[in-house]
Amino acid sequence: MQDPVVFRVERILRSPWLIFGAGAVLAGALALALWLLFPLYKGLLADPFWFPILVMAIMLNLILSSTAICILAERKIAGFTQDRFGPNRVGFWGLLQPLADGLKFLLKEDIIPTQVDKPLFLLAPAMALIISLSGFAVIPWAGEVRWPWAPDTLVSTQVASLDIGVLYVLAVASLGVYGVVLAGYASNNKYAFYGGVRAAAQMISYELPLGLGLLCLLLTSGSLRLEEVVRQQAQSGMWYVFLHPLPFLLILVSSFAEANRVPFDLAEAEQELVGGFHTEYSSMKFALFFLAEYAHMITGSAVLVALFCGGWAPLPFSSWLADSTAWWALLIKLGAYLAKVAVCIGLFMLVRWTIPRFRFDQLMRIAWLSLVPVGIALVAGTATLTVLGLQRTWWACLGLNLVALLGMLWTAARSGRTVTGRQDDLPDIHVEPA
Amino acid sequence: MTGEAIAFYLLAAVVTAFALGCVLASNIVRMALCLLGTLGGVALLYFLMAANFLGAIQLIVYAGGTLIVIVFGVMLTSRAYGTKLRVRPLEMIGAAVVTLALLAGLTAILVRTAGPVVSPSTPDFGVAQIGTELLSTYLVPFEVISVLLLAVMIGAAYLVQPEKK
Amino acid sequence: MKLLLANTWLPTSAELHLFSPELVLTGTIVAVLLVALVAGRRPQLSAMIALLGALLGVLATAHVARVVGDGGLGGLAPPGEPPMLIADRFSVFFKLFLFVLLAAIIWLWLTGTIERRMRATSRPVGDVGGPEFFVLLLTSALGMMLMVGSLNLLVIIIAMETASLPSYAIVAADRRSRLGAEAALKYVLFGAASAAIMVYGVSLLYGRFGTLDLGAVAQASSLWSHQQDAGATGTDWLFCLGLAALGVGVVFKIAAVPMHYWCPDVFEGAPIEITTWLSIASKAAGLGLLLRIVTTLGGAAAGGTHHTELLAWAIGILAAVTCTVGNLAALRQESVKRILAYSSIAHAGYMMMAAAILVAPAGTAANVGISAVVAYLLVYLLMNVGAFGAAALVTWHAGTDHLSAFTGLGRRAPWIAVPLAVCLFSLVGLPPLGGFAAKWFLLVALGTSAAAQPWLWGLVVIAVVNTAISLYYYVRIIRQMFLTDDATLPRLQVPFGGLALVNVCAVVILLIGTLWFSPLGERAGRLASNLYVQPTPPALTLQP
Repeated sequence: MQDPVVFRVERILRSPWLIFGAGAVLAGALALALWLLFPLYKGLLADPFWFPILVMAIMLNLILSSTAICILAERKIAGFTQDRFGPNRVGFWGLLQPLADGLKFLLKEDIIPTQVDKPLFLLAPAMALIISLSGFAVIPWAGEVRWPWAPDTLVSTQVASLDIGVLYVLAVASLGVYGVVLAGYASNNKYAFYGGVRAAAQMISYELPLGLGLLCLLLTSGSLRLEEVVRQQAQSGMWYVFLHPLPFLLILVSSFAEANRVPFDLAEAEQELVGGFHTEYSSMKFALFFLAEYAHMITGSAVLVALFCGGWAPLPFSSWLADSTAWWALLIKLGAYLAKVAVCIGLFMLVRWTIPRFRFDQLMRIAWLSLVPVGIALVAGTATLTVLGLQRTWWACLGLNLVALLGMLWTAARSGRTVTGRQDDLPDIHVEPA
Repeated sequence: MTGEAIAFYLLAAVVTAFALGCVLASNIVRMALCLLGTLGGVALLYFLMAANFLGAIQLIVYAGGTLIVIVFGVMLTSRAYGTKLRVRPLEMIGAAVVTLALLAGLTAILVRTAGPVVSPSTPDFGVAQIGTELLSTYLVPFEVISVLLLAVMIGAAYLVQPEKK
Repeated sequence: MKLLLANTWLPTSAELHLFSPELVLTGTIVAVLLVALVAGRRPQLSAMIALLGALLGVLATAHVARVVGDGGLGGLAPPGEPPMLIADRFSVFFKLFLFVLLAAIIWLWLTGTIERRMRATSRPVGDVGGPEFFVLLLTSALGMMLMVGSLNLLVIIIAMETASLPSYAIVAADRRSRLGAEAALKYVLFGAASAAIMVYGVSLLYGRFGTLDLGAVAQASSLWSHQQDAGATGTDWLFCLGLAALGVGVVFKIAAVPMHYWCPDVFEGAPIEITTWLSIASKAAGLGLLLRIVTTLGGAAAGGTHHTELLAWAIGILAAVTCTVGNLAALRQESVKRILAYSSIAHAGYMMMAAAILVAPAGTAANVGISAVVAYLLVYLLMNVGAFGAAALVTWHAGTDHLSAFTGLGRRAPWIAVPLAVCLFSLVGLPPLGGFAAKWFLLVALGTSAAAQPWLWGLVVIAVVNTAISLYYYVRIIRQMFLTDDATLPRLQVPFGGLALVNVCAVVILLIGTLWFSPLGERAGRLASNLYVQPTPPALTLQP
């Protein structure tokens, strides 16, 4: 028997009118506030010091709130993949599910086991989140813009324009493992500990293909600045993914691994390690790990989009809006960027619900026996092209990728073993016929 | 005092604190973490001095590479994991005496020395500049290091490869 | 499209010709690896390639020697910069020295492999070996060649690491030996600590003078001290501290006193080929570097300053302590490897004494010192290859290097015992053997320089006293070989290759002590005569 009051509240919450109405009201109020307060922050927008801080505040909020949406999207995509509905009880089409999830996390009991290494135990989730968020600093969200009321200042919609942008991303990515490793250590739990060790080994291994893929790209673009890489792609219309599909795949696979997601989530493999590194975490601390994972994914996607998919360039094979610095172009560019990131995240999620988790030896083989050799071959090839001055010629690059791909397939066929095959020293399995 | 100087002293204090923590901690994982703090702090010092490239490399190579391997090694070495490293008081006193003497000596020398004889040149620290320098002025060390790294890799692989039956 | 590398500097082929020994060595490293990739792991094949590389290296060095022989010098640097690598007669000598030694070591290894196969001991052939072993050996040789071929502090550090890091790994080449693993660990820890101190010292020097070029540092430091001599205060302590810290790294390579602890343990734990290699090559390279630094600093000071005098004193005291400690510690050892390890420490002390001759009256005495070291090193090479080679032959047979393994060797294997005795007597420095020639030149060099610096007489006395002490432990081995016997012990079957190596060494030692006495001195003197001197020292700006 259900309480009629609860039933009624639930029905109201589930009505589309309420959701969309409330959403419209909120959006309207926000737009109105922005409009009315415009004279107050107009100066800040054109200020080279304050604008990056503003960008940081806005994008940080956007990302943190979009992780909530990501959780819903993940569950919906999981539902889609497995031919079921996904969450649909809280709000219309389950749209209030993130809110409910957040509330749940906040209201759960926050347990700190007695035998943990307390400072490290508390530090680990914070570290995971901070590091996964700091990658955003160099993403060029929407290129440069010239406000109508300040025609002589060109502001870049980026928190920090570093001459070492890609290296910064690499540095932050390499630090990302500490959260997991520390959590694994500090929990004083064998399962968590194994999770931490696995995460460390995995991260070291997958840093290499990531770096090799980035090297190919750097040789092509000749610049470490992300905004410069994006500008080149926008102006030529030739996104680097069309030139270098294999390095793109290298980096994509490495980003899966760096984000610790299926099929690379060995650090938290539920079937083997209970929950892996976050076994002992509960409530908001667990939520921070969750948040960090999604933030990691979003950063990875944003970097991937900037490096390979033309960043804010709205259309491939065209230089539309490449040199425009008008404020409306800013909106289109930002929209294009976010849309690409969303597509990329969608891909992450589809992969997660499609491919099963690797075994640990498979994980290592993939990195060391296939990704790294291909990466080295690609770097050598791209370097040769660079010396010949052909590094941005599409047929040369595609030819190189094709040769690398064929070489890879040929080697794989010749070796007669799959990279993900059984470990040599494992005994054969003999199944007695029934 | 400029903002830069304040930032420098703050960072220097943080680095020193972490370094002390690294020496004084009794738990090996905490030591590693303190080392991470030190290395990260030094990277920040590089950033403060506008040596962005060096800072990023410091993070990638030391914090993200070497140290994680150390942590990994510590965690895999079952006996080291969880062991408390204790220092006997006598050793502590000896180390303190030597360290303080060294500190005093260094400070005295640095105070008494007026400054560099040659004013250090301030080259352009751009990444492209660094790359060009590496492949021209510093070509010889660059190439020698490549041989060295090859040998080190081979040596490491040689030492850990399993025995043939 | 613009070529990205258009504005970089690349050396010309004429410049590269001067560095063909290094290039040959690098090529050999690659060849060993690639052949192993194609032909599979065949230790003997790898050894053959490495041997071929070493012999080719001798040819290449001879070619360079022709170019630089008549006073030619060369450097490798972009125009207008002080050279990073240099080729002069001094470095050519060391390259030749190292190549010959390398060939001898590989020869010894081949002999050992045959010996092990013949004995069919529990250890399979190629256990200590394989392509990696030779790659590491060759890389450490490359590092040592670069050590003596540079005046740039950065290259010196890198070269030293290139010499050290592969050595750490090959010390543990026998991966089943616990002693080897322990030795490697001790070596690594000492090496890492000393390398850290050295890099710190270099950073101090760079901070002080704003340059990594040793010539410029020498120039700046001597300028500074002249300026200071006129003024009030005396010593530039920061410079001295930096130099001392740099010296820690050098002293570690030489295995001289404050950093000598690794030496006996590492020598005992390492495979005996590697022990031989380290005992000679590491010391030679370290001494070459020491002489290079010392002459550069002393040369720029022209006639000596306060600083060079301090430096000479420091090296002199270190040398005296080193050879005394080495000799005293050797007295109580029972393992032949350890006895030879301490003896090598003592000999490093003797050679460092010559490096102390610095403040040169009219610029000639420095050359006397260098030629003494060069002559000493040549003889030392023969003596140590002979002694270690003989010890190796016995050790492989007996399975231990304890003194008792040498019992009755005079009867059991006269072709080992006699050359070993020659080498040991030569190590003492008795006439008419090469060791006497070496010591003679050293004492003469010290004596002639002592006219200007009377304190060098002290070193002469210490050297003579130490020679007397060392007689005891060398003769102990000889006594064990000839004056004790155990009739139950069988005769030794030893491979011909090993015998040839040991006997050739002994014969050459004899020849040097007699017929080639004065030619050795002349040759050494000529090798030391033209050292690389900065063609145009960079202009320095003094801060007010």
